[in-house]
Formats: sequence, structure tokens, C-alpha cells
Amino acid sequence: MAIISSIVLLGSIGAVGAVALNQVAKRFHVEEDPRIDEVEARLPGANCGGCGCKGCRDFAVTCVQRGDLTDLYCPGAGAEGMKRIAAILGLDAVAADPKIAVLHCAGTPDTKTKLDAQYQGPRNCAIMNLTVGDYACLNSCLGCGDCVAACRFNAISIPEGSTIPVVNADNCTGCGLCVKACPRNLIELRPVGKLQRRVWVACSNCQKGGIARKQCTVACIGCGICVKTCPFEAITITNNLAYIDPAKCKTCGKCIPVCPMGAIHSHNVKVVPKEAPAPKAPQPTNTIKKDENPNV
Amino acid sequence: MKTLTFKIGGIHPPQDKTAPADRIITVVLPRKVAMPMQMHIGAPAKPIVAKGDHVERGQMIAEAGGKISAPVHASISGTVSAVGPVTLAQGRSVNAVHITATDQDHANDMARIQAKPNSKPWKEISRTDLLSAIANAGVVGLGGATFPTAVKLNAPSTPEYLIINACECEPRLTCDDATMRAYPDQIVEGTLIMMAASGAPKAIIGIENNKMEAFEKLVNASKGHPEIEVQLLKARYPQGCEKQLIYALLKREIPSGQLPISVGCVVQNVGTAYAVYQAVALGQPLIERVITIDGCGNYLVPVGMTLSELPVEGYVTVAEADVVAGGPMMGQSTVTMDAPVVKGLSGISVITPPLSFNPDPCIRCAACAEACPMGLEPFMISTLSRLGKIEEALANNLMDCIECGSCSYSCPSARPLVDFIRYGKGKARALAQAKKK
Amino acid sequence: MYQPTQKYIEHISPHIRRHRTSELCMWHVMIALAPTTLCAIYYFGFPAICVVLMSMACCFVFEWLVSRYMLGKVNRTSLVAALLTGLLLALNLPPSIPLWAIALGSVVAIGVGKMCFGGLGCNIFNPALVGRVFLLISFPVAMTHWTLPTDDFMIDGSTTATLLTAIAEGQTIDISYFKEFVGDRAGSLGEVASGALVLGFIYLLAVKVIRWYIPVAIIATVAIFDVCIGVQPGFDIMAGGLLLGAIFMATDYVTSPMSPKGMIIFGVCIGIITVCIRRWGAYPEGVSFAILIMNGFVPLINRYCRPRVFGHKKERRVAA
Repeated sequence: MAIISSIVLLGSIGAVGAVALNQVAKRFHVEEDPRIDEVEARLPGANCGGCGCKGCRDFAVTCVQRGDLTDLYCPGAGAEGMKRIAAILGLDAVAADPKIAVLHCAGTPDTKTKLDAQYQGPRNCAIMNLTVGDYACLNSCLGCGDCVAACRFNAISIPEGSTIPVVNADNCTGCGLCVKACPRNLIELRPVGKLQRRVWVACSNCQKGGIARKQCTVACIGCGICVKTCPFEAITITNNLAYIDPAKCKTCGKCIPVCPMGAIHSHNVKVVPKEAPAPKAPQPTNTIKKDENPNV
Repeated sequence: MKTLTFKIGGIHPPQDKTAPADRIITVVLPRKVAMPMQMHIGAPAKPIVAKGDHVERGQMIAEAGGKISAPVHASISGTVSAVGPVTLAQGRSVNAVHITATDQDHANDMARIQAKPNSKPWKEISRTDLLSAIANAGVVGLGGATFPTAVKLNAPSTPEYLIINACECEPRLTCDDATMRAYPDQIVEGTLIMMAASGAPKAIIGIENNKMEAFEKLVNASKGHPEIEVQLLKARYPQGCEKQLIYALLKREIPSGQLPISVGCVVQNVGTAYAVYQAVALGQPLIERVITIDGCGNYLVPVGMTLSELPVEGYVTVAEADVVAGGPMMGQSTVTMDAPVVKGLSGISVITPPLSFNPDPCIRCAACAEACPMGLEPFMISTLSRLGKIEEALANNLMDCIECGSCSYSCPSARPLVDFIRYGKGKARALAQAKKK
Repeated sequence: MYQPTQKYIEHISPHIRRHRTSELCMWHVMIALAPTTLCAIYYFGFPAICVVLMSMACCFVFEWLVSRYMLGKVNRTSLVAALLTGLLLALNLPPSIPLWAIALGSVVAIGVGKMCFGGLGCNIFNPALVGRVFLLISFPVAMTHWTLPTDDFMIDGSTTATLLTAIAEGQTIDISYFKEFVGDRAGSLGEVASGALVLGFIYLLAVKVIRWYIPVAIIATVAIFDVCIGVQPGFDIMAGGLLLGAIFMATDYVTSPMSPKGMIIFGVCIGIITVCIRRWGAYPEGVSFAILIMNGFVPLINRYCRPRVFGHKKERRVAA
């Protein structure tokens, strides 16, 4: 008897609960476009913000609601992924150049001039950047890996034994999280380029030539040889620093061997060896001596 | 009289005020100075001299670069040898005017210093003229924040109180103490000028009870002026922060995110009062200031003089030290002494041995929350900032932090609390800017 | 030439720190526990020494093993914390407990109570109490086998009931406050000598390692509650592990609230739960359970008892 009564009692409680739940679910049901879920499924789900929306879900909602894919591009999904999303929504995919993160610094402890100073504190670029760090160049990579921590696609890493990050072209989506993470603004998103060919200046040092040269042996000294060499007028110098405009650069690679400091780096570009040997870069002094402190 | 203080948080770091405050050593003018164009908060000054120009001591060499900015004056006579970058003690480079003096220039300057100028009457000068006189003299807040004084005095509404910050709650520094002992009458005069310039009917000089001699001198100096009150405060850090000082003196709380004028106050450093006196009564712009060299003494140094050229005696060169521009609580580490003295430099503290960085896990002892003078929970906002959860850190009043360092100081696990709070504040500002766009 | 240093160390401000480390705090607590430990050794003799050493050694070794081989990093402060946990666990055990049970209790205290949550600073519950309660539930006989203090240093004293057990079993007993104060009675190692515990409390207050809020709140609550239900309050406070718990266990930094307000709420709740368990519960002793229960509420208390931020009008809203 006891068994039956408890079965009945518990069963009825369960039934009442089920009915109540069902009613509540119906009452508060929110109509949602099923395509949002479909679009979201095509997205990487990293919520990187590279599209400009708050996250992947927000991007999916925006895509569906706007009914037009202009200015909507998920760097994580890429052109292929955007085509699929366009197919789901019955829209035309708007082509966008795939981009990749590029580091504008190649300074290592061997090339950079050490200060008589040592930073002690959290190994975190943004915090280290509150002081000047250990090296004379204030536009060089701090090497604590804020960008590595920011990346959600495992595309940037500091290899064992190295002090500067390396971008893995296969994984990089060009979302720009590392660009925001770098306190010294050393990372730029550049077009991947035809056949993955790219040429860039691996330096951000804005000091005048003499000072820059003393701060780092691979610094851009703003000498302007590359500007003269470039047949396409793609290189400009502002603030003693050369910049290669990716829109104009045809990746001919002529500027690479002429740089006296070897500050122009490239990927997949065949470097034409120069006829005359490049002028040898002067040996760096280890520390800036007092009387020749370039800043005074 | 009752000794006042603020209510929440606060710490008592060892004072270590070993630099004697009873005398100020006047430094012989150097032959070479570099006048940085950015010695204040706001837009950098614009140089108005070029290479080769001859300038006189006290001549304006750079004009204010904007609304919130301050001009720069030559601290020695001489020829402009270059207009170019100079490395500040903290390691960053700024634009500067480099001046080199000949023997003749040097002799002229020394002669001019010997002939002490007479104090000019200023009571007849109108408020606007006073303000422009202060602005043209390049006076900025000498407590360390270097906000242009004239801008601060020209508040949107008339303040009730002008508060002179003579706390000097930073350990090791004694430059304000020395200034007060040396020039009490001038400081009172400067206070009167600033009251006239700001329109404040009353002034309070807040001074901590570890500077009794300066306190007595100021009380004597202000005897004929009932509108100036000299108030003793209990020595406690961070009493010299505006919010804590106003609370200690008047029991008024500045609402979050607002300026002291919202409670009818304008706060000025005591060194600034002296600089204002010099600017208005003597017509001498801000070209020299008193700095403390930790353990050695107080020096009256021309702005722009190279730190390593200071004739300091009685110091020992150690193998490694944390050399701080300013006091040990809020100063910044320096990387060189081959750098010019700037207007905001209150002293050089040498911390030996330097702190090592070796944090333990947080044991949630709440020592940081107990020490925070703003009633924040530093462990929480620091962790949230470190994890990049800026929105949540903001909800925990990240932006109310005054970066006084009381939390890091008290943390038994030596955790980098302020470091990450600063990091978070930087991110939050970037976030706010991105939103504006 | 002013050149104070050859090498400049860069530090984010502040550049000085208070000379107090977490490790030092833990040594202070151990010093504060010294009188209690010595009393225990005086009253219970050699078995007490065995229990204390065994417990501390086990906690230390187990902490080292876990940090070395599972977390990969040995932290000195954490090891000292393990020593303290070991000492507190020992003081919560009866002198006659078998040594293998201590080892098991230490493993549970460090492994389950602390390292499972991520090590020092991450645990929710007081590790020593986790170990103690584990033993109490698993080996109730061994854990409630009380011996009377003995004059002979090397042998166990005669078995008896503690005051609380006696009360729970309905016996009437003579209460001698003096005996309780100096510790001449049966009980766990650390709970017999109330005087030594109070001495430790004074020491901790003097060196400013703990604040008075939690112990005073607990003891005051127990006293008031006892008066309300008509029990002699002095007895409840001195008997059992109340003082040990209030002074040394409930004030553990990691597992107690952060604000004074929170601390008082925490203490009051522990007091109420303790008396409830002692009077109406199945166990004669309730402090351990009360503290563990309230440990679970600490995050909630912290969330609702936050300091008022300077310059903000109302109590700040609870952040998500």
C-alpha cells in the first residue's frame, strides 16, 4: 500500500511539473530565425571580434538581419566560409582580401643594445611597457608573448630559444587580436598577397638613423635607399621609418638586398642578389657611452 | 587643534626621510642644460627659438602648445645648441631645447642671482592678469602630477577653499619640508596670490605631524591672515592624494570620476605656492625647483640640469639599485642619471636592495582591501584585469583606483596588484576610446 | 658626478614593500600554537609528540609530492602552509589515535582539502578540518577514544569521556573552570588547555596576523545563545574545540570572509551552528562542522559584504 501511494504521489508531482514546464516553454518561446544557428555553425566560434561584432553569435545575427553581406567578413571563416554563409542566406559573398599578421620587429638580444637597466616584474608586455624595459630601442618587441596569449587560433608562438613571436601562416586568420594586444603596436595586418608573397619592413624604430643604428643592428635607419630602388613608389619614409604600402607593392623583391641593415623581410619572394656587396653595417657598440649619448 | 586624517584604508610605510630638510643647497648653474618640451600634463610646448639663437635666463623658449599646456623658459643664459630629443630619466625621449653657456653668460647669470629682486606689489592686479602671469611663467603642479597651475586655478566655478597640499606623505622625500622651512613667508604670500587668482575666499594648508618645525613656521608666517588656516594632519599614506586630503580636512568626498572643484576645492602643492610667489611677486618663471636626493640633502636645481652633474656628496655607488624619480610609493624607476631635471621631479630615491619579483599565490588575506584608501578590492580588480575581463573590472570600480600602491605595499604574497590594475586601466581607456569611434 | 648605481632595476611602483610575507604569517600562527602544543605534550606525553610530528611530516611530504609531481612547481610558502595544516590537524586529534589514521587524514587534508582546488589560496574549505572531519566520520571509534591526562610520560592514560560527550550522554558532571583553563581534562590535543589558546590569540592580535572580529563574534554568539537556551555559557566556550576553532581554524585567511562585516556574520553563524549541533545534533562536538559549513558560504558573504567605495553614494551593487 505504501508503495502504491508513493508511486501515485511522486508520479502526480512529476506530471504536474511536466505540464507546467511545457506551458512555460510555450509561453516564453522566442521565435528565432533558424538560419542564425546555421550561420553560426559555419563560424569558427572563437569570438575573436575580428569581424567587428561582439562575437560569433552576434555576427551571425547581423548577417541574417541585415540581408546584405557588405562589410561583413569573418576572417576566421575566410572566403570559403563566407561563400557558404552566403549560400545559406541566398546572398552574394562580398570578397575581402585575406590578411595575415606581420611583426614589424626583428630585434633579438644579439642585435639590440642593452641598457644598464633590468626590468623586474610580471612578464607581460603591457606592464613591461610601463617602464622602458631592458633595451635601448623603445619600439622593439618585448617578447613576453601578449600576442601569443591573445591569439585564439594558435597562430602565433614564440619558439623555444627565440625572443620574438613567429606567425604561423596556416593558422592565422587575420582577426587582429594580436594587433590590439601589442602595447608597442608592432603587429600589422597585411594582405596575404598573391601566392603568399609579401615584403615588409621588420622594424618600427622611429629614431634618426644614427640613433637607430646604435640601438639595434637590424633597425631601419630611414636612409631611403629602398625608396629609390622601388620601381613602383610603394615605399615611403615617415618618422625615419620606411613603410611598404601593400597596395602598391608588387613583391618584386628589389628592395630587400639593398637595405644596408637587412631590415626588409619577405615571405615566398625570390631575392635577387645585388651586384655590388652591400655596405657592411658598422659594428654596434655594446652600450651607449655617456659622451656619445645620441640624445644629448 | 585637532590632528585630522582620512577615514578608510591607508598605510604607514617607514618614513626614511633621511635627507636633512633644514637647509637647501643652491647648485651652481651648469654650463649646459636641456629643457624638455614635455614637462607637464597636456600638449607639449612649441619651441620658439632655433639653433644658434641667444637666450637669457628666464626667457621664454617655448610657448604653450594648447589649452592645457605650459610654456618653458631657459634656466641659464646661453646659445641654443640644438633643438632635438633628450632622454628623460625614465628612459623615454622627448623633444628639448639644448642650451650651452659661455663663461660670459655664466658670469652674467651669477651676477643677476646675487642681486636679489625686490618683491613687487601684486594686490592691484586683476584676477585674469594674475592667471595669465602664472600661466606665462610656466608654473605647473610641483607635487608630481604637473598639471598647469593656471588652468587648475581657473576653475569653472568659484571654489570655496584653496587647499595647499603640504603633506608630503611619500617616504624619503623632504623637498616640501625643506621649502616650507626655508620660505614660509613666501609660501603664505603665494597662497594669497593663488586665492586671488582662483577667487577662493579661504585657504587651508594641510601639513602632516612629522613636519612640526615647518608647521610652526607656517603658523607664524600666516598670523596676520585669518583667511589662511594651517591644519595639522596625522602622518599617513596616501594623505597627499587630493581625494584623501580633502576628506581629511573638510570631510567632503569627491564623487567618483569628478574633480575637487565638485566639492568646492582647488588643491595645489606647497612647492607650487612658492613657484607662484616667484612668478607673480618676483617675476621669475619656473626655472628652478627643490629636489631631494635620497639620503643626501635638498638641492635648489635649475630645470634642465643633468642629474649626474649634481654636486651630491655622501652617496655610495652600489652595484644595483632601484633608482626612483620621485618617492618610493608612486615614483617611476629611472634607467639613467644622464637626464635633465624636469619640473615635476620631486626627488631621487635610491632603493637598495631593490625588490625582487617573486610573487606567491594570493591567500585572500584582504590586506590589500584593508589598505585601499578608496575602499576598493584590489585583489579582485587586479585579477580581473590580468584575465582581460575589463568590463567586469570596471563594474568593480577599476577607474576609481588612484594607483597609490598601498595594496601592493601591504600584500604579504608580494603580488603585482597595481601593475595589473594599471594594465587594466590602460585597456579600459583604449576600450572607451574605441567605443567613441 | 652623481651616479647612485651601476645597474638600474626597473620596477612598477610601489618600490618598497611591507616586511611581512605570507610565510611569516604562517610562522606566526605556529608560534601562537606553541603553548597549546606544549600543553598537549605535557598532559598527554609521548603519544602527543608522535601525533604532532606524524601529522606535520605527512602533510609536508604529501604537499611536496603533489606540488613536485602534479603541479610541477614547489612553492616554499605552500610547504610552510602544509606544515601549519599538519599542526592544526594534529591538535584536532585525540592523543590515542593510530598513526596510520593520521597519515590518511593528512592525505585527505592536503589532497582533497587543498590541492584538489588548485593549491594554496584556492581551497574553499579549511584543509585541516577536512582531514579531521574525514577521520571523525570514517573512524568514529578511534576519533572519540579520549584519554585522561597522565603523569607517566610514556603511557596512555585511562580512557574517559570528554565533557561534551558526557553531556550528550546525559551524565551529570562537575565543571571545574580551573581544570579547563589549564587543560587538565580529556579531549583532543589542542582543545584541552584554554589558557594556552587564549595566549596564542593575544599573540596573534599583537603581531596583527588576525583581526579580532571572527573569534570574538563566535565566542560572543555562543555565550549569548547559551544564555538564551539556559545553558551555562562559560562551559560551552571552554569545552571542546570551540576556542581552537574560533581562534585558529575559523580565522584561516583563505577560507574566511574579507571584510569586517563579513567576518562578523561568519562568526555569528558559526556560533549558532555550533550550539545547535552540540545541543540538538547527533555529534557531541560541532565546531568543525560549523566552520566547514560556513566556509562554503564565504564566497556568498564576500559578495554581499563589500566595502563602500570612496566617492560612491550608495552601497555599490553586487558585481556579476
